[in-house]
Amino acid sequence: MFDKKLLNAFPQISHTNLINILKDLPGPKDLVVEHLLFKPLEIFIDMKSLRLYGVDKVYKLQESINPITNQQCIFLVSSNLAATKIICDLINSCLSISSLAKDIIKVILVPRSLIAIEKQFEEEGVFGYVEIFEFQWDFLHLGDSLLSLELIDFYKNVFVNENQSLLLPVAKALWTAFMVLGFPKTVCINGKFSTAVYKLLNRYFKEKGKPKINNESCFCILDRDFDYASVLLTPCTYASLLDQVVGIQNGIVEIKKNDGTISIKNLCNPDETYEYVKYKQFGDVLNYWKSKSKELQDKLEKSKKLQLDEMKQYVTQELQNVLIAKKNLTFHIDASELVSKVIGDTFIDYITIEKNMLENRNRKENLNSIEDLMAFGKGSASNVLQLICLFSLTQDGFTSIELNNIKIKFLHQFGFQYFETFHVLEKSNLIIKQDNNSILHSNLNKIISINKTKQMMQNMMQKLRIADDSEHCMSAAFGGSYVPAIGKLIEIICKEEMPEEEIIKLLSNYSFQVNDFKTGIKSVYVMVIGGITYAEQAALHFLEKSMNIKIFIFSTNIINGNILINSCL
Amino acid sequence: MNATDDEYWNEKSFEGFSFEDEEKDLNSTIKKIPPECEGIQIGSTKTKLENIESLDTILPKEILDKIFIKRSSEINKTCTTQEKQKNVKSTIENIVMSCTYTLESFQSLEEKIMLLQEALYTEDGNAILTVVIFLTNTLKKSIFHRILRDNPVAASHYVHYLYSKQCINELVDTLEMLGRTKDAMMMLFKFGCRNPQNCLQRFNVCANLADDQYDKQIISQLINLVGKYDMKCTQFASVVTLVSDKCKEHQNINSCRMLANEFNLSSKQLEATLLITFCQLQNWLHVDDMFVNKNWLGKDKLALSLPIGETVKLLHHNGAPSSSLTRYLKLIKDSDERLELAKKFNCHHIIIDDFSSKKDRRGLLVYKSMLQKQTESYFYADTILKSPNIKWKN
Repeated sequence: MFDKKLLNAFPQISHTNLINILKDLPGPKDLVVEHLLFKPLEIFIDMKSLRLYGVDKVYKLQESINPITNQQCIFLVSSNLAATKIICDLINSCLSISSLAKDIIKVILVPRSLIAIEKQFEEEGVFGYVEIFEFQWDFLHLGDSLLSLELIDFYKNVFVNENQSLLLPVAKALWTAFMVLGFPKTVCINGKFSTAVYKLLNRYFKEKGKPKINNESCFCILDRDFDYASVLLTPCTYASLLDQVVGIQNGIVEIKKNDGTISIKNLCNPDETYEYVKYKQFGDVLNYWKSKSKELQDKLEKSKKLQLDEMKQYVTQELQNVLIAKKNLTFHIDASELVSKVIGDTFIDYITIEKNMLENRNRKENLNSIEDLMAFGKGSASNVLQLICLFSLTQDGFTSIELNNIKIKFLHQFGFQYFETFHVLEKSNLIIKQDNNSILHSNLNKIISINKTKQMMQNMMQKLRIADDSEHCMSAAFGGSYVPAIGKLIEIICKEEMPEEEIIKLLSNYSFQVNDFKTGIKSVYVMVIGGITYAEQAALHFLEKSMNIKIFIFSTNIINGNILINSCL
Repeated sequence: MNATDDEYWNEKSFEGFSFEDEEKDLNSTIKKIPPECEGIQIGSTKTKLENIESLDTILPKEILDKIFIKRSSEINKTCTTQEKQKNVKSTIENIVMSCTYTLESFQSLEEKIMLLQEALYTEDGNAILTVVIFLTNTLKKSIFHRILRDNPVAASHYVHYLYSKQCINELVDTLEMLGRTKDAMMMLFKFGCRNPQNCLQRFNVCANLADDQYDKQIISQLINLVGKYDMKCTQFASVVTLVSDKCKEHQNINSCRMLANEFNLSSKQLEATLLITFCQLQNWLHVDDMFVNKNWLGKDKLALSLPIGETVKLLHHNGAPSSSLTRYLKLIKDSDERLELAKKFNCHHIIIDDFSSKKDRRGLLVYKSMLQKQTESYFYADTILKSPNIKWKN
C-alpha cells in the first residue's frame, strides 16, 4: 500500500531545484521576492538555507525601493507582466543615473519564462542586462492528502482568459509527482484543459522518462467545470467556511481582530484543535469551543493546586503544551467569531435558497428570493453573483427576460461596472441564456450547444444522485444538501457494484475518456484543473474513511466561490 | 491548377515587355499581342548571337567559371513538405522544452501556418503565442487576421497578450476584426470603468457599438449616472447609493422616487434603500409615511412590495420603537406568521390580541404572569382579560 513518506519528497525536490539555481550563481547576492511568493516559498525553504548559498539580504519587490546595487541581484517573481514591468523600471531607473555592472541582474520566473515577458524585456531595453531562469515548485502539501500547486490566478488565466501557458508547468509537476509515486494503470479524463494537460504529461513521459506503473490505482483528471455547484454552494464544514469567508492562502489564515491587530496562523502546522474541528459542521464547532475552553481552564486551574515537586514536572512537561493549545484555541475562537459576524445573519437565508434551487423548486420564487436578499443588502456582490450562477446551473439557465431583469437589478444595486462581469460569466458558461430567439435565427449550432449545456446539471444530478441524498456521508460537506460530483465519481469507480462496462458507459455520458479500466482500485489520484474547494476535500475525506480507500487530491490551486467570481471581474 | 499557373506566367511576361505603356489595361494588352510575337522577338536575338564567335573561344574556362556563378545549392533549396514538417516539429519542440530556437528561417506562408498548427497541437500557450507574435511581425495585417479568424485558440492567446500589454486600441480593433463586436464593446467598457476621469467618451463609443437594445439601455443609464456624479471618486457609485445619498441629503421621499424613476429602479430596491437609510437616520416617521397608507375608511393599508417579515426584522435591528413594530405587524394577514414575528420581537400587544382572538383566557393569564408588572403591555393584557365582550372558551 501507499507510503505516506513519499509525500515528503515534494518539498525537498522543490528545495533542491531552487538551491541548484542559487548554486549556479555563486558569490554574495541579494534576493528580491514578489510578495505573493513569500508564503509558498516558506513551505520548502528557509532563510538559513538561503544564507548558506550566499543570499545577503531579502527584499520585497516594490516600485518605491530600488534594491539594485553593485552586488549580484536576483529577482524571484511570478511570470506576469505587471511584476516584470517593475523589474524593468528598476533597471531603467538605475541606468538613467549611472551604468549598470555587467551580469549582476538575474530574474527567476515562477513557474516559467514566457514569450510575453521576454518581449517586454526586449521592448523596455533591458534584455541585455538580465539573465532569465525558470523555477517551479512541486506540489505543496496543505495537510492530510491535499496537494496544491498554488498557482496564482490559475482559474482566471486558463478558464476565463483561455490562456494555456500555465498548462505546461502543471504537466511538469504531475510528471515529477508520478515519477515519485508511480503512475496508475487506469486513467479517467474529463474536460478540454485536462485533455491538454494529459497530452503534455505524455510528452514529458516520452521526453524525460516513464515512471513505474501502479496497478491498483486510478488517476482522474478533471476540469473545474465538471462540477461548479461545489464551488458556488455555501460550504458547511469549519475549514471550508473559514476559507470561503476569511480565506486560506497557502494554508495560512490571517484574521483582523477588533482591536486592529492581525493574527496569523499556519493551518499546516500541528494543531490538535484544528485536527479535531476541520471537518466538523460549523454549528457544532461553536459548541465545541465551550467545552474545550472549559477543559483548558480546568487544566490551568489544576496547576494552581499542585505541590511544589509536581509543579516542576508540570512546568517542564505539560505547561508548554497547555499554553500552545490555549493559543491555538484563542485563534480558532476569534476566527469563528469573525465567520459568524460576516455570515451569521445571512447563513440560513443562503442555505435555504440554495437548497430550493438544487431541488429545482419554483424558479420564480427563487429569483424573487435572490432579489430580496439583494435589496436588503444581504451579502456582497460576489455572494449574490454566486447565487445567480447557481440558479443558472441548477435551473437550466435563464430566459432572456429573466436574465435582463436580474441583471439590471444587480447593476442598480452594486454598480454598472459589473456589466462586463455578466458578459464574462456568460462567456464562461457560468450564466447560461436559453435563447428563445435563436430558433428564429435558425442558428442551429447555437441551439445544439445551448441544449447540451442546458439540462446538463439536472441530468447529472439525477444520474449521479448528488442533490437529494442527505444520508450520504459526503453530503455533510454541504450540510446534507449536496454530494460533490467528483466524490461521487470516485465512489462509482471504486465501489464494485456496477459492472465494468456499465461504469465506462456511465462515464462516457459525461464525455469521460477512460483508459485501461481495471476493477479493484484501492487508491485514487484525483487532479482538478482549475482548483478544488475545501468542501470537496472534506467530502473526499469522508469518502476515504467510509470506503477504506486512499484518495490523493492534487490541484492547480484552491478555489472557492469568491475566488471564482473575482476571476471574472 | 497548371493551366492557371501557365496563364499567370504568360501574363507576367507580357507585362514585362510592355513597360513603355504602363497605363494600358491588362486585358487589352493580352488581346493586342498575339502569342507568336514572343517567339519572333527571341528568335531575332538568337540570330544575332549566331553570327559572332562563341564565348568559350574568347575566354578561358577558369574566367568563365568565375563569371557564371554556380547557384549554391544552399540558397533557394526547396525542401520537401516532409522536411519542412520535420523542421517545424523540432522547432516547436524546442520552444516547448525551453531550448534555444530560431523562427526567422520560416519565411514561406506554408511554413508559418505549419508552425502555428504544430504549436496549437502541443496545447502549450507559450508556444502558441510565440508563433503568433512571429506571425504578426512577419506577415501583413490582412493575412495575419485571416489566420487568427481561422484559429480561435490562437486568436484568444493574441487577444490576451494585447490585453496584458494594455494595448487597448489594437485589442478593440482585433476583436472587431474577428467579428467579436460584443467583446470589443465590453473591453472598451471595462477600460472606461477603470478610468473614470475620461470614461464618457468610451461609454459613448460603447453605446454605438452595442447591437443589443438592452445593452444600449444599460450604457445610456450609466452615462446618465456619470453625469449626476461628480467624478472625483475612482469608483462608480451605484444607483442605489445615489438614491440613498439623496435621501440622506433631502429626506424627501418624492424627490428620491423621481430619481429612482429616471433609472427604472425596481420598487423593491427603492423601498429597501429608503427603509435602510431612514433606519440609519432613526427617522421612524418617514418610515410610516412611506409604508402605511390610510384607505378611504381611515384604516391602515400596507403600501409595500418588500416581504413584511424581513422589513420588521430590519426595523427591529435598528431599534425602531415597539409601537411602530406593532403597527406593521398588525398588517400581516397570516396569523401564524404574525404571531411568530411578534414573539420574536416581543410585541406583546399582538400576542395578547392573538390570545383574545382564540378566546384562550388561561393562556393569556399565563402570559400575563410573565410580563413585567406596571408596564403598558401588562395593563393591556389586564384590560383584555376584563373585557365583557369576549366569550372565553376556558
